Amino acid sequence: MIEVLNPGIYTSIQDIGRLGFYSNGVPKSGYMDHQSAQMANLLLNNPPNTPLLECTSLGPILKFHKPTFICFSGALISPLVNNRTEVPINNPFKIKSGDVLSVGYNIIGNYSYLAISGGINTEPFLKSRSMSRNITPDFRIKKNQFLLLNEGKHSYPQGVKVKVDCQILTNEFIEVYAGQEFKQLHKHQLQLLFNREFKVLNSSNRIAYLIEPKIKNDLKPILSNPVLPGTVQLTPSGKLIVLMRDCQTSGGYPRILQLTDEAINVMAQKTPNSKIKFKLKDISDPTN
Amino acid sequence: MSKKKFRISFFQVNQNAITVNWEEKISHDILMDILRFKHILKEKTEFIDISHGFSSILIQFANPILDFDPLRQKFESLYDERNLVRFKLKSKNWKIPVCYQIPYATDLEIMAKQLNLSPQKIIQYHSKAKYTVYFIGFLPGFFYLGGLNPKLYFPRRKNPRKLVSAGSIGIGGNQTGVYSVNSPGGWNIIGYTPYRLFDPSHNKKKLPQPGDTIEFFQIDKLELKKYSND
Repeated sequence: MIEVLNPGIYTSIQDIGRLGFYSNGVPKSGYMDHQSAQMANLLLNNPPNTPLLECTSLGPILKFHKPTFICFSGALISPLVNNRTEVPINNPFKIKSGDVLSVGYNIIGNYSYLAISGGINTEPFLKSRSMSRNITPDFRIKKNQFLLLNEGKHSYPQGVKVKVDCQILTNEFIEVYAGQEFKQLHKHQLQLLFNREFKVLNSSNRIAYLIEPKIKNDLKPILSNPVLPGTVQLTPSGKLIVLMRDCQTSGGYPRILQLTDEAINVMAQKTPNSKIKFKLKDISDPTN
Repeated sequence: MSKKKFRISFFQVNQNAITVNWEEKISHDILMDILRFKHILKEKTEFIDISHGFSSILIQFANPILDFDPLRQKFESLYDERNLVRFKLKSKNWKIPVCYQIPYATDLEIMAKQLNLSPQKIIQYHSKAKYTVYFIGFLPGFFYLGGLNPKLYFPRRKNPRKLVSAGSIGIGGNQTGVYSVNSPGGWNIIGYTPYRLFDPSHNKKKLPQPGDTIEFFQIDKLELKKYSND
């Protein structure tokens, strides 16, 4: 059992997300950065869909009421146990009963993943344990809450150096496919899209990342039709919206780009004020 | 049931999703064609999720699409054979109770003034129509409905509200609908229904589906409990 002493800025339980409920208007949700979350689970021998804690900006302070193993992956952080022992990232770490874990601030990257041996045990809603507004009773963990744990393994090889590719945190290129309304873009709009740097805005969250500068736009709104995480919409006022994991299932703005699955993970790790550049990929190219 | 032939096109969205697209138009014939084709795809193909909007179906597969062309050809021939498949939409009509009184009908008075209609007339027009459920999107359990009386077309609020309560009935542009869950929203609110249209813990609960029709009927605020389906 884990006691939440301080929930941090926005810490939530996430798994791979909700699949099969799109036609009910239910967002997919799930890990913002699948690659890092899966890495944390993998290093603890947890199955790929194991629920873990997703932390952003300032992480939680947690008290463990039973011994277990944990593993961090994703954003670069410097967590401490009992305010003295540093917890290495991308390495299983042994926790004793009564240990207090302070996750602390992110140093590089936006989302860090705290996997716990066996995973967190919560009630599934629509076949997923991912916290999401309107679906689960809470959309983030709360102070004084107790999180139940599943039984996990009792030993792990420790001190084994795992080399994790941190490209995902530093890569400024976001690979995209042409979106469904891409063909309607003019030459000057395309030039802006692929030659300029864009800045991630402060108001970005699990639903969408907003980026600047605006792009002058005269594309007509479309009829409300399906959108996905990774869809880039262009609004009538020229704002660019990159839809993320908690996005709605349909939208009426032109869908000009679609992030590749890997690029959604890269995008997720961008903090406000980060710079990104779009790189167009051909979806029909078999080498992709 | 229309068996008209539509021109459709296919689009690969990402590594594991495609869309099937009809002419961009809100049309009952297109809705029926979409529902018929969805039915066939559910029977004859494998995927992890299928959903649709006004003029497009989204199909998400478990595995990456290695070669789009053969997939497209397969789907095209399934579409061409769709009239050979027996499919009769079991369309249901739902009667949804609505309280059009204060404190729920926050914008009814303003709408009445600006549309130059009495509040009673607005209620009458709103509750006399039969609406078609086109699809569910925007929010969990939010129905896109067709069939609003053009006399009730009314622009969205300039400043959307930060919170519109679940159950609120609104009008925005040429659409009407029910806020299925609490949400920010820009539609003008003319009433409230105690009938819950989304419940994440009871997924099996019978709720309106695309192709069904909905009628709103007026209830008094003292009857809200009686008509709740919680």
